[in-house]
Amino acid sequence: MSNGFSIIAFNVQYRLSRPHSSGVQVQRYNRIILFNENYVSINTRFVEGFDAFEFIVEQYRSVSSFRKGNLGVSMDYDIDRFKVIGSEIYNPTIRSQLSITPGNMYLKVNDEQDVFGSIFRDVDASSGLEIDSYNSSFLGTTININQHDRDVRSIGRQRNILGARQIINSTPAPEPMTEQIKETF
Amino acid sequence: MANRYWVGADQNWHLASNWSLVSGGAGGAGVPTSADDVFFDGNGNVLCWPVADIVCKDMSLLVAMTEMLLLDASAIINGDFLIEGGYFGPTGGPDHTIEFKGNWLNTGGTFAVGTGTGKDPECIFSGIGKTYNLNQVGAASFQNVLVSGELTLTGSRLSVMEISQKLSITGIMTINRYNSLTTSRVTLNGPNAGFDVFTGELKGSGRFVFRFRSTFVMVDTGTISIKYFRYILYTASAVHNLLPRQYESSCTVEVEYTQDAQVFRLEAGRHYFLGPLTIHCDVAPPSQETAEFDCDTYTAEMWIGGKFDIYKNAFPAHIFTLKLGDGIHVFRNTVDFYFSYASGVSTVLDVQAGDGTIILWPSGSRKVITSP
Repeated sequence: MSNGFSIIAFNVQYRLSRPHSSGVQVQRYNRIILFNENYVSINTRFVEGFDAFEFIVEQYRSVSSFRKGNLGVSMDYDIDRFKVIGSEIYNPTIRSQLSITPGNMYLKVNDEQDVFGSIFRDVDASSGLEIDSYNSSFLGTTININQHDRDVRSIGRQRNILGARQIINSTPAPEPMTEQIKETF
Repeated sequence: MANRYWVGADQNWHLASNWSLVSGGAGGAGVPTSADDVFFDGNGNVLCWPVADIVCKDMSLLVAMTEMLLLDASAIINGDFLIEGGYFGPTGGPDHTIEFKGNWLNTGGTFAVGTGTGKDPECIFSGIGKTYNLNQVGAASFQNVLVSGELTLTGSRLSVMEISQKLSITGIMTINRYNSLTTSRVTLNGPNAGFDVFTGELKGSGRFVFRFRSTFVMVDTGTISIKYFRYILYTASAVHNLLPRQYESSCTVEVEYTQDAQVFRLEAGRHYFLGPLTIHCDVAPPSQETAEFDCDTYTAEMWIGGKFDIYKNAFPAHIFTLKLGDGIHVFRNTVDFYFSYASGVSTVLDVQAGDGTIILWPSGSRKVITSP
């Protein structure tokens, strides 16, 4: 399998809030989209927790690291609606930040979840709903995320459910949206 | 072509007997023409005050100059301009123009464009591939400036050009840093300061500083690709509105808060900051102050190609409010909403995200996947 070529990859870092030991200041956002174009992979890193009504990851085999909590600081990622639009071939990876300190990334999903084609690594979703994820794989100490295998194919950049081997519920595949938003710029 | 040394017995430029072929020599050489080089070196009347238009080739105000050249008329300097001593002061008007077609070098003396009636004197830099150097501690003060040629400015002084009124750029104005320690700048600062005709390009490795008052309007024309473009918010307790425009990817746009309760408000439309956007503050207030960056009121949208940085230690005792509003903001690079808490809990960063969308679309080092 050819993977093309690669350049030294640096993380692009996001600090959207500043939780701290003398008083947590977690900012809440309406909608955050983490996006990469087709066939481009750039790793990203979130170093503080944040709240969002909607958090959408639409990527193509990128690694998104989320900083884990440490003593005295709450580092939840508290999200009402969580959506991952990955590729069935090159899944984006969502993982806790690499660290010698064991710990999890506390992904708290309160309302809706549409997770397709992704890799979870060392993610703890125990503080929120259990997450159902399709065509995904789990690594490390990921807990409370249920894997379901569905036959989801991409035609163009649209996900189409062509069949189902294990149907858990009738959640439709998410459609990419960022390209449409980009066209407005 | 000949040399013309000022040996005037009175203040009349247009008197043949006031000019000599040699330094301190006998007068009578004739009034300088566009082909003559003019020198002032301390051998003439202390005041030279042309009230009709003048021309010359090179103009050299030498280190020995003790005279004052007060220019109440227009001038065309076809060659290079040098000031090492003395005083050069265009004044009067209206509509006087001083056109510099060659290089401009200031190593001493005083260069100060004054005011008069109507439109105050405008200095025009029309030469192509010319340089402007200010290498002394004293400032060079201008009223109106037009860069219609291609001019590269730098100098050992931090602010190499101070413009009090209008700046027009129809050519290319390049501001370059002097060395690794000195980032030369041009400062636009005055009650009526601003851009007039801007169809050219502002570029270079230096900094452009616009002391931005609450009544000012920033144009959306021209190309801004200079390394640093800084808005220094001038008016206390006031809203400073900014029209949408594009800043090229090589340009870091800096917004500096200077007084309490200042608001920097982006007006409706899309603001393309293709390079970094950095928020600064340059005061250490005795008590807590407020500062606001507002995209909400007019549903402004930002495209930020570089790092979006609210400079972490710049607000020692502030409540800084960032209102993102209901629009779509695209961040192509790092976002850093970080305040240092070393100065205590009085430092607050309040991000009011509104009902809009933030697109984190990283660029930069990347892995391109060409095939499955």
